[in-house]
Amino acid sequence: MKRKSEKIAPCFGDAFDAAKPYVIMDGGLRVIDKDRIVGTVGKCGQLDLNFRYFGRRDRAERSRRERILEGMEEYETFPPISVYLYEGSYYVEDGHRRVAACKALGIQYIDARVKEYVYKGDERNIEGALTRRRFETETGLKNIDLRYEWGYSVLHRGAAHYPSDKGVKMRAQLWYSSWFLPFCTEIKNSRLVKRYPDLAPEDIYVIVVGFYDDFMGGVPRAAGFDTLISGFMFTHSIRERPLRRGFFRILRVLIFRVRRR
Amino acid sequence: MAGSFRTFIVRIILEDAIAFEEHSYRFYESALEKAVSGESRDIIGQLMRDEFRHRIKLEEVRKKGDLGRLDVPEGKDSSYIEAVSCSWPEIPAHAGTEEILEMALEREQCSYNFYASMEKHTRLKPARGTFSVLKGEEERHVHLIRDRMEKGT
Repeated sequence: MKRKSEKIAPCFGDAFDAAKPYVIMDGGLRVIDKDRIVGTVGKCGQLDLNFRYFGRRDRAERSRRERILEGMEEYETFPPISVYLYEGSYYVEDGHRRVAACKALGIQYIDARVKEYVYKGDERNIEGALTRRRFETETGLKNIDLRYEWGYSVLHRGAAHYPSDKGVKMRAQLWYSSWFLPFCTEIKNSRLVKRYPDLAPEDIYVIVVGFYDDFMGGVPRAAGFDTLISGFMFTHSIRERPLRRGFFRILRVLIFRVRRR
Repeated sequence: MAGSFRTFIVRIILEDAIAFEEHSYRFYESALEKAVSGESRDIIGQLMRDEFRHRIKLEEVRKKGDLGRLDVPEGKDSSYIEAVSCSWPEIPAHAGTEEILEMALEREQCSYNFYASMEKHTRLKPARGTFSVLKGEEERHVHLIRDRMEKGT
């Protein structure tokens, strides 16, 4: 059985190192992944891991919780929650019951106003946070939530160079629906998710495309998504369909035996 | 198929060709780890990228699925057998650049023979086109390595 401390939602104050200097950025309104909401800012010690209040079984609390649950089930619009983004995880400032409802209903994404804390000494992360803002402002795409923000430079390059004669935002929309989303779906169905169990397909996309950018100066557009994934797996020595390979190897050996007779 | 024609399923050959390119890639990858310096290093890097590009090309052809059959006349297909049988050797721990380039040259010639044989015997346009392009690329590699060796490593 878990102890109470293991069931409590982590506290921002415990994770945050106040001795370090930080840049605080207004991330604006975004769509965030509920799986990355890990803790709370102001309700420390009061919530369980599903963001429900400990020890509050009163009628008023139950009624508020149920009202939100029902509303979400009926696709009612709720105001965005407020969160702090710190080292890739979100801490809820306002909207704990909405997060609890999302977790209970299995709703994967939620609207949030984001305030981001980036350690001043981490230049890569500061640059990442700035690239994210640039990407979101220029493309209008605010629903891609990467764990490592430096990856937005890869996304920005992809969206900016996507072949289309449309304007920047329209081109980015096309890139998103015709390239990025299908690619992420292919990644989701590949063995890469087992190789990178802590990363979402969007983050793995950044790794794969980043590899092609560095190694070949860009992604070969004529190649299919599965071919690109297979190429990446080969270069990174990730075993892929070993049974198929073995089957063809045996078949070839058999053919040669027949030929030699 | 009985008679004077031996039938190879294209898929098997493509799998062979992909494995071929993969071995080439690994060879150059390990060559890069050795103490190869200067222009030779750039050339090996370029060859490595090319082999990877070939693999992508072949994967795309393989994915197109039912390419039918490839008929190789008996007695004239020794280049295929030879090419498939030639292996990428391990690079000795203290191999110098010249030795590495010599090994690479031998293998590129082998690859050229393989694709030349495939191009000659394939009647299917998409596969023949790919084999023809790859043959040209392997020929370019042979020239590239020879030039480098002539200039001195």
